[in-house]
Amino acid sequence: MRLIHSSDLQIGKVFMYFEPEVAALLQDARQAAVRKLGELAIKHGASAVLLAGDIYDKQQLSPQTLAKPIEGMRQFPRITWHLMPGNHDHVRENGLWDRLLRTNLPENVKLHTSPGAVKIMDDDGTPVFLLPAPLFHISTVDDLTGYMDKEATPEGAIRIGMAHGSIQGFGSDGEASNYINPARAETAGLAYLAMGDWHRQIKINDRVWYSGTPEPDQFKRPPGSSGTLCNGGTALVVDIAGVRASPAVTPVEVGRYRWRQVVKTLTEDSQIDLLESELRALEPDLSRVVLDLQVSGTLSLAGRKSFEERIIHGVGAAVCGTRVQDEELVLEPTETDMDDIDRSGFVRVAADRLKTIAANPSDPEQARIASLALRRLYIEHLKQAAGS
Amino acid sequence: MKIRSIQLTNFRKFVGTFGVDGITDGVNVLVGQNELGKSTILAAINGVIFEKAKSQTETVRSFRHFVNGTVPEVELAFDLDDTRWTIRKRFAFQSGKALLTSSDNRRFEDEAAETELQRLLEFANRRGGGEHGIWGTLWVSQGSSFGDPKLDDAGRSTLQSCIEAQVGVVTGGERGRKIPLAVDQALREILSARGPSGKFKDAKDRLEEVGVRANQLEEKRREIFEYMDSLARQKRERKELQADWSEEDHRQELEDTRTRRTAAATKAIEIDAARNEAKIAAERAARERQAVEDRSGLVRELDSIEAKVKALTSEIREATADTNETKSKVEACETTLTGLREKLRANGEQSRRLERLRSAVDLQAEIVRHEATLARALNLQAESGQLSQSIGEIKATDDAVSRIEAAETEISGAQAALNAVATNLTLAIEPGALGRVRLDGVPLDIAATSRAVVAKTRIDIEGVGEMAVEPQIRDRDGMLKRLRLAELELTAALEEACVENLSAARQAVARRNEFERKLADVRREITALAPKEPAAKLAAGLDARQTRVRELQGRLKTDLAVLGIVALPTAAEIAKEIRETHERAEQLAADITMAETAVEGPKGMLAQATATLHELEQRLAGLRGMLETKQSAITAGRAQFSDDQLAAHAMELTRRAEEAQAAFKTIESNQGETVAAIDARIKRLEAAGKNHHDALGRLNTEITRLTALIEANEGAGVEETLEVARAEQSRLEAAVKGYEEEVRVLQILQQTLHEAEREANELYLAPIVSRVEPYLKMLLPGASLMLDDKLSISTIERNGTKEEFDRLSGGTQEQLAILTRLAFAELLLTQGRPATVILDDALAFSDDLRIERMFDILMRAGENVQILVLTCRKRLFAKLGAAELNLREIHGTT
Repeated sequence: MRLIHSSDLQIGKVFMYFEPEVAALLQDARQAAVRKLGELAIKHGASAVLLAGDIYDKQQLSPQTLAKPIEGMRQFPRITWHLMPGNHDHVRENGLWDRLLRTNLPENVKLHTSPGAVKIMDDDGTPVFLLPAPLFHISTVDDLTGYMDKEATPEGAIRIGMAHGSIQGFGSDGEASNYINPARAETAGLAYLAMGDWHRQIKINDRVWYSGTPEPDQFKRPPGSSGTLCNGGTALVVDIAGVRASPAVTPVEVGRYRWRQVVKTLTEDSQIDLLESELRALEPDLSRVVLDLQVSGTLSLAGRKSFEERIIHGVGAAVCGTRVQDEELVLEPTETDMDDIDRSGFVRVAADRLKTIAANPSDPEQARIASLALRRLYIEHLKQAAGS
Repeated sequence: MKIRSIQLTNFRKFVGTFGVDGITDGVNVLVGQNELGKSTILAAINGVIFEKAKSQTETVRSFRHFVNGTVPEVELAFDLDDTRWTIRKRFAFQSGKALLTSSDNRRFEDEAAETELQRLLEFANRRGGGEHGIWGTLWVSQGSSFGDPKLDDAGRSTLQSCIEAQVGVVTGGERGRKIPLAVDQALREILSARGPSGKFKDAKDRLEEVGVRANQLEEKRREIFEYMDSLARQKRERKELQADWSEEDHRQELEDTRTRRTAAATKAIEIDAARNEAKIAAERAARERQAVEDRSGLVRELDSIEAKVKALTSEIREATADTNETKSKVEACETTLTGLREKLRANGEQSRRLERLRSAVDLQAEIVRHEATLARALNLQAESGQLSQSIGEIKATDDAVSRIEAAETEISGAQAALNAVATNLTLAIEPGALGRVRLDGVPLDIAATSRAVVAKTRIDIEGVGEMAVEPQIRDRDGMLKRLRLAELELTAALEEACVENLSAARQAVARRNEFERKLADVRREITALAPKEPAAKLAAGLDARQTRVRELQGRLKTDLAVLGIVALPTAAEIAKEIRETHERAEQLAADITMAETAVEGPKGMLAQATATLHELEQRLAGLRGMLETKQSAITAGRAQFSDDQLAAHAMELTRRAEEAQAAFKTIESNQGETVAAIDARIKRLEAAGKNHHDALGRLNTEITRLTALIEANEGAGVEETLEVARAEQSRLEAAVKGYEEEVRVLQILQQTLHEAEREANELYLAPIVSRVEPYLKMLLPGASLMLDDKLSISTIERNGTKEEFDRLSGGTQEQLAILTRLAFAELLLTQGRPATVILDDALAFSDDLRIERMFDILMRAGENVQILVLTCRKRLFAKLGAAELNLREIHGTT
């Protein structure tokens, strides 16, 4: 039998630090993840998709946001979608799962809002039981998969667990709560334990996997990664050959956007060229890139101007969205900068004074403001020059 | 450039050629009366330099003569860089000619001349002529010297180039000047005096709105989660409630309890009936025993009442006798009292009659007193008449005496005057010859005599003949006339006073005065006889007395009629009678008091005896009524049951009551569980059932309500909307923070730029200020002057107080403006460009002290700068000590 394992779609997520139009694109990509997963199931001949928690980002969502993924699933009638509450969308009295139940749910969508073995299919005569461990609170001290050890299923049935939380011993990735025993697959006789919560894909052991989120949503790179690619954007194709056979798990990329985090230190204006080249080479299609640019170091006034023109405005226009963190990028006006403002006269006197204040370490905040004022003076000078 | 001479031909008012020459390096003054053409000379200097010869502008047209319109020509000679230049222009429109020549034989004509002139004097070209530039500032036409010496762009540029040649470039140039303006503008766009404005304000306002909305959504979100939590609790509670309750068990228990209650109720009714029966029997037996007791008590009471009636009857008899005796005593006392009171009344009447008699006697006495006064008054009036008559008979008065005395004095004076001038005639006659000698016909009777002679005096000596002596006295007639008139006056005065001489007159006056004193005394006495008597309400005067007498006589007559007597007794008699009557009255009053005291005792005893009797009679009546009632009751009771029958019946009823009570006790001891206890249990069970159903109902209602509330909010997608709002809030916070940072950036930039600019300006203006200051110290000691970056005077500071230039007096403004112009000219001089300062009718409003100082300043400046003063005030400017110029005619009409 073949399954698609995914989690953490977090439909309805709002992206705080992007402009509304960029946030809308990213939200749309999350909505589209359902279609991507359905197409992946069709492509790989899988009959079921397991969504291991956090299908929704919030509890109180609009009817449209709530209905959209369900309607996406309706588009794939031959695929059965198994949905389980996670910490973001945990079970609440008359909460979103009750709302979904009151709606016209398609036959191929199954909600697993209480623990207990449920038969989900027959695999060549072998019954397949799903043992979900839905969350009833944002966090809990109990291992909700504990019941699986004693949960009875017919002899010879394939048991597949589905849980949402952190695996003990693998360190925290985000909130460290809802701990789950990594040996649960063994103790409970599970053929496979489909895990959700962590947004990066990770194999805990042969039978226990985190699928990661199908569409990235954070500037967080895998621990120890030297690359720029951030977590998320994949799903798992899981083949289960028998009751105790090791599952064959294949990661597949499904994400629309690729989130990249670039950290650079600039010490010379000439490095701006290199940075631009590097950024433009991030992806063949830069419009897929959501960029987090963290720059530090020093630039001249002219260099800063160039940085803004070529990186912030140039590359910034080429990618889907950008977050620039340049608080550590210090201005160091050169003599040429100062001469550009004016070689003599009171404007030059003012520029020299601002430069002195900016270089005074005893009042860092005043120095920062003076540095920005100098930058502003430089720009005003250029404007006046352009005007005249 | 230094101007040396100017010639005007047919220019404006001048017909023919006129000119001024001999203009020196220092201060030159051209004095001329009004209308002489001083201002025309300045116009000609401006015209020949800045207006092109071929120009057809209005300015050039104005050069033509007012009436005949002949072609104007101007020739100006000036020195520049050690070269004498002469520019001559003929303003004939298209046919205009310009000729520029130099002392080193350079020559330029027409356009070449115009161009070279422009180059030499460094002014900019414009259509039809040149920009006046700095010359426009230094050459001040009439009426334009007031106020700030405004510079045009070219003028300012000229000065700036001079300044920058000295202090270097300290401003930022045109572009530099625009930067602070751009920064100011940028700051104004986001910050006003009242705080954030424009986009900054929009962002702040929007942030506030979004914050409020986000908080509302947050509250809503929390509310919905509370609904959900509450719903979960309610459902859990309902489940527990339903688990702990069995409706069937409850129903069965209630039914069993109600059955037991029915049995208990039946038994309770039986017990009540037995209790009631026993109670009735006991009551009946008690009533019958009471009837037996009542009857025997009644019999005992009857005996007691009869004994009391008897005793009371005896008491009443004694009290009646006592009362009668006391009443007799009281009547005797009251008879005595009545007699005394009658006597007192008769004595009172006698007393009142006597009082009336005494009043009549007083009336009569008053009449007699007034009549005596009136009689005395008549006598005094007769005496007064006699005295008045005597006074009237004497004519001599004090005035008459004075008149007589004056006449005698005059006579004595006249006589003395005559004696003084008289001739003393002394005769010593032999005694025998006495009879023969006559003096003025009067024979002498004494032998020796001496006589003062004033008139012609004849001495007849019988037998001898006649001698006459006639003294020669000046104004003898006047003196004699004075004497005669005095004698006539004396005679008239004596006749008027009816006396013979002064002595008699004095005696008559003394008599008259005596009579008048006596008359006054008599009159005072008459007045004193009838003074005002306020106590008697009597006015002063005899008339009032006479009226009072008549009134009193009337009243006396009436009183006598009332008293029924004709003659009045004496006052002493009446007084005696009154005294006796009073004594009698006092005695009677004492007797009456004693009699009243005596009757009080018997009266009190009588009242007490009467009251006692009355009370005894009332008690007797009461006892008799009671006796009759009780006797009737006994009689009636015995008629029904005899005393024995009544006692037997009571015993029977007592026995029956004891039997009924024993039966009740027996049945009560077998009662079992009470109805009240069973009712309490039923009530508890019913309440428990109701509570259960109510609680369930409440839970169901609450669950329905919460479910409805949650579902009602589902459409809003509160958390999702909240996230969007928080995202917007976060963006707006970043924007506001950005604007706040921008404000700080612009403020520090603005402050730094302005400080630097101000310092630069100070440095920049120093060359001018340093040149103005020496002159300023001469004009206004202790004052300093501030220029702005446009080289205009902005303020002056005196005694630590800053004053706006525009607010100074017109005279002071003009003086300061001239100082500034002199400084400009000196500045030009430092750059090797000497310039002439022309003042046309300046300093017209300066006071004497200031104008003297200004003259000093001009003369000091004239050591470096050529100054041309055009004025109409010859006497005033004579003090300037400058070289005097003359406008003279060179050729007549051409």
